[in-house]
This record gives sequence, structure tokens and C-alpha cells, in this order.
Amino acid sequence: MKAELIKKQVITGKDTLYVFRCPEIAEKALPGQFVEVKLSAEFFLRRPVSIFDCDGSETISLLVRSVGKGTEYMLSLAEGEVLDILGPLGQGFSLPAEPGKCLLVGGGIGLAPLYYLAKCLKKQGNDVQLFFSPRRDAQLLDAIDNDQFPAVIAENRKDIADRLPQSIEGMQYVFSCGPEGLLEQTALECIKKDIFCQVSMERRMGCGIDLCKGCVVAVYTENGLEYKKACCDGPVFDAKEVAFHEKP
Amino acid sequence: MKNLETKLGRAVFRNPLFGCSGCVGHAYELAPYTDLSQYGGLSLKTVTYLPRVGNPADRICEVTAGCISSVGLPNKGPDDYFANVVPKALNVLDPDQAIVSVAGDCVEEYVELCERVQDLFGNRIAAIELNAACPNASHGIGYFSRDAKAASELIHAAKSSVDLPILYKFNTNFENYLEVGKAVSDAGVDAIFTTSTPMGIKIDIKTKKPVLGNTIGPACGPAVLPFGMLRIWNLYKEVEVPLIASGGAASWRDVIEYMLAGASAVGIGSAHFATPDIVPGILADLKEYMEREKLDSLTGLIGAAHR
Repeated sequence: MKAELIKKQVITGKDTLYVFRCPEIAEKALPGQFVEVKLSAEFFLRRPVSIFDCDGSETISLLVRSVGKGTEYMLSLAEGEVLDILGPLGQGFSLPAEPGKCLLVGGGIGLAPLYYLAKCLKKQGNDVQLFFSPRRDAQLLDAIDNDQFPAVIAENRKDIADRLPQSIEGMQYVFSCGPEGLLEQTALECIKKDIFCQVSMERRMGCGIDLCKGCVVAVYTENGLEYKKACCDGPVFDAKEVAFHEKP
Repeated sequence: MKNLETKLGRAVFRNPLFGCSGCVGHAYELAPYTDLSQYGGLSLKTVTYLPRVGNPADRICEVTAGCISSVGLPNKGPDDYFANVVPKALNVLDPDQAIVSVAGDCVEEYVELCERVQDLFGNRIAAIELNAACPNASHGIGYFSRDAKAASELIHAAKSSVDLPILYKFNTNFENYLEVGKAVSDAGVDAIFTTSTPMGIKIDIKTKKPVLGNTIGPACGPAVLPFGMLRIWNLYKEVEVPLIASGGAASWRDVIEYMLAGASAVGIGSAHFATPDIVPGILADLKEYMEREKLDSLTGLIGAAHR
């Protein structure tokens, strides 16, 4: 699909918000889904990027950290440029059937898919809180309307271990995206407390549409350990399902 | 009237553009993003005699002018494949397009898979692809691509077991590939489908570790086009049977170049990853080329650079 870049906003020294006009994607996008962005002929593969925000009819926003050649190239894009973007792709977060207390646990640029989720949860009448780490990345929160979403900010990994259990206490639904260590901590805490938890898994992808079978995540199934694919079975998985340290 | 019909041994395809096994899923994953009717043939992802979980993550990463990947032929084995995968693929492909790709550890395993394919889908597919480029537990990677005698025995055994046309998916990255290509040709295979993807490695400079879970993997994409071209150029001089080229082709120009080097048909592989609707565009471009060059058929181009 053709997507016109209508706004580019620097959020931090390494993170940029890109707003694209693309009704075909905006009309269908669900929180936790992603798009595959085609850059220039220099780049052989598309880049998978989480949907950060969506107005439901015209625009989608992508919050992108410059970590490699592709994401650095994106910085050179000018407003008005038209890109080829495929989406929305993948299985997103499951919204609760009944409104309740929700905690979103984001690590660094893992915040990206949680904002649209937060807005959808809020609209549904849920109580939404944010747990974010690490503090050095807290400027990322400038990309969101954080008056609406009170945030606990952890300093570092040790601080997460100290404070995450308390933040999860009393929650009914927990959703997380970020480094795998954080996802695992979140998953374990929720499993112990028997709280519904979903995690968004990041993998290198070849195509994003299940052609290459590349983006595997090890999961527990009734048949034992199996590989599922982040692009079509995920990127969002039930926290109980993910095998963080085992392979089939 | 433009005629793109492509005859490969006993098989006749509607045009010379093929989807390569491993890059087009099982066709049904690709169907929402393209017009599959524009493919001459499409090879489904390979089924192996025993189920395989495939390689650990990461399985694919970008490199300059291409990607390297090592997926490891994941599949749930023949029972699941024949009951669920092939029937679903045949819902989106016509019988003259569908190619079922099989791999075994030894001749007997290949033959048993071929017989099952013929029994179950014999009148609903165009050909069987013997994947001889894959890992081989007993003899190491690409055994049937680097042992001329084994390759010849495999073709003879497959041909005497089934009537379906046989394509040989052949890894040309071994020193004796011309010898093996000739043996396969002499054994009467319907066509040789080359894969000319040399092994590569990508090291993450942050983690200081190889990116791929399998450490190394074949390199694909435009970077390998000239190497694939040379293999086709050389094979064309040695073998009697038609060649399906693959390796880096992503445009009508690449297709014409491969034909001039000696290919009768061209497989489009990893270019699907970024451009899943690539084949209808290439086909339209080929038709425009024929119009400009006042050609009714492309067959006159096959091997023309040798003349």
C-alpha cells in the first residue's frame, strides 16, 4: 500500500515518530500489529515496525529507534514522501472481555506497540497504568499523552526486579513489550500470581507474511515444544506459551 | 500472438517464471498478496521423509545486496503435509502450476515420497521436485548435488517409480557440479532447477556473535546473480535437458539474461520477501519486451549468448 509521510517528529536523540497517511492500514489496524516498510532499493528486506498509534481511518504512526542502516535511512525521509508499506500484519493484543485493571510493561523502544493498546484499553473503560524502564529512555514517554497513563519508571534491571512485582499486584491484565529479559520477568510474575499476560516478541523477519518461515519463537504446546512464527502466530503471544530458554 | 508456453521435458508450463521452493511458502500464504495465475510454476516448501523442527532463531538476516538464511526445512512430515498442506495449496494453484518438492536421506525415502505424491495428487500437479540441495543426515549437506552416481541413481529410481515429470533441485556450489549436472541429464530428468546460493555468514558487531542460529546460511539476492549466471552458462554447454535458473533474479532483465545464458525458465526466490507481488510485474515486463523486440516467443533466446 502507498503511505505518505505527513509528519516526522524527533522524540529523543535516537527515536523518531513518523506519521503516515494510509487509510487501508489505518482502517484495519489493531493494537500490537505491525507493518513492513519498504525503504529504498539499497535495502533488500522490508523493515518490520510496530504500529505506535492509529486514528482508525486515515493515519498510522510508527515510533522508530535508529539502530541500524535501515532505521538510519528512515531519518532521511522527508514529509510528503510516499513509501510502500504492507499491513497491518500479525496477531495483536487481546482486549479484555470485561474492563479491569491493566498494566502495560514497556522496556525502551518496546513502548512502541503499547501506546495504541493503552488508548484502546482506555476507550473500553479499563484502568490503565504503565511500568516503564529504563529511566535513561524516559524521554520516550514524550511521544505519548502521559497525563492519561500514570507511569512508574524503573531505573534499571535491578530496580525492575524490586518494583515490578508490586506494580503487577492487583492487576487483572498485563501486556508487555521490550527486551526478552523484561518480558520473561513480567511473564513469570504474572504466572505466579495467575494474572492474564501477553508479551510481544521481537524477531528478525524476512518477509512478515509467512513466506520465509524465518521469525520463529519457541512455544509450549500440547504436543510439546514447537516453533511458531512471530509474523503470523504473533508477534503477541500468551506469556504462558513462550519458552524463553528452550528450543524444540 | 505471444506464446510464453514453456516446455520442460514432459511438463508444459504456462510461462517461464517460477516461484522457488522456500521463498513462496506453500502458495496459500502468498495468495493474498499477488495473482498466482501469473506464475508458470510454483514449488511448494519441501516436505522431508521425517518431520523437522527447523533451525533456531535467527533464521534470516539482511546483508549487502541480499540476505542470508538458514531455515532448516521445517515441516511436520509427510502425513500432515499430504493431508493438510498440499490440498490447501491446490486450492490456489492450477494443476499445470503446482510442483511438490520432496527430500529424503536416501534414494528409498525420496522414492516413497514420490509414490505418495503421485498416488494422492498425480493428476492435480505439474511435476515433482527432488530437493537435492538440502541437508542430508547420513552424508552431509547437498549429498545428492555433489555425488554424480548417487544423483543418477536417484533420478533412475524416481523415474521408474512415478510417471510425473521430475525436476532436480540442484545445488551448484560444488566443484564437480558439471559432472553431476551431466549425470542427472543423462539419467533423463525432465529439467534441472539450479540453486546457486553460496554459503555466507553475518556477524553482529554489537553482540560479537554470528546472527544466524545455524551460524552460516546460503546467501540470496542480487549479490549472487552473476555467480548463478555463470553456472547456467556452463551447465548449458554440458547438459541436454532444460535448465530452470535461480539465484538473484528480480526483474525482466535478469530473466532475459538467464535465458541468454541458457535457462529455459527462471525461478524467482527471495525477491518475494520484500515484493510479494513481483512475478505479475515481471511477466508484464516480459510481454512488453517481446512487443518491443517483435518476438512471438522467448525460446529463441535460450542459450543465444553462446551462438
